[in-house]
Amino acid sequence: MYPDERVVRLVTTEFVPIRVHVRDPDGLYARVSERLNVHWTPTVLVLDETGVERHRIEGFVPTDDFLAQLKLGLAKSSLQRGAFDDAERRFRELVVEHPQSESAPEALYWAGVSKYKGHNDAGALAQTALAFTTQYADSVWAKKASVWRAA
Amino acid sequence: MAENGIVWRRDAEKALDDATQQGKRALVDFTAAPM
Repeated sequence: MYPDERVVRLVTTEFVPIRVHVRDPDGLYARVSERLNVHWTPTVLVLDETGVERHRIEGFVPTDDFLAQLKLGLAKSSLQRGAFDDAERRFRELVVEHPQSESAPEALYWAGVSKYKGHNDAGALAQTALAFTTQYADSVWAKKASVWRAA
Repeated sequence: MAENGIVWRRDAEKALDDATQQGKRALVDFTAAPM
């Protein structure tokens, strides 16, 4: 996935890239994997500006899904720091740019949450529940949003 | 170490501390792939 130009662009513009290899000398892998609670390779972590984990990718994923998950991590970082408009924009862009990815239904869910939290607009939750009736209806995220229908 | 335009920090512990101190997001890749 790293040879993909889109991945290279996203990684180099948004992150400090850090690699830890199981064969790194002097017990480096053991220390860092314990520090970040990692038990398997490949594992990729998205850490926010304060060093807190916001997303975890375990096991191989195809390039498009990998890109979508990186964007999910970025959007979650924005949501957690209270940048709700930025978070909503990032979640909605993910849905548009990676509609077939496994991250898209989750992004649609959190886009609604971001709008709700940013504008104290309960209608955003109802709109999100409605959106799930026409897309990703079989996803677990549609089930989670279903309670918002009467919001 | 550069790979297809990505310059990976290999001094992971210091890199994690640097990223936090500088207020930057980090992507940490744990791998066993041949290098």
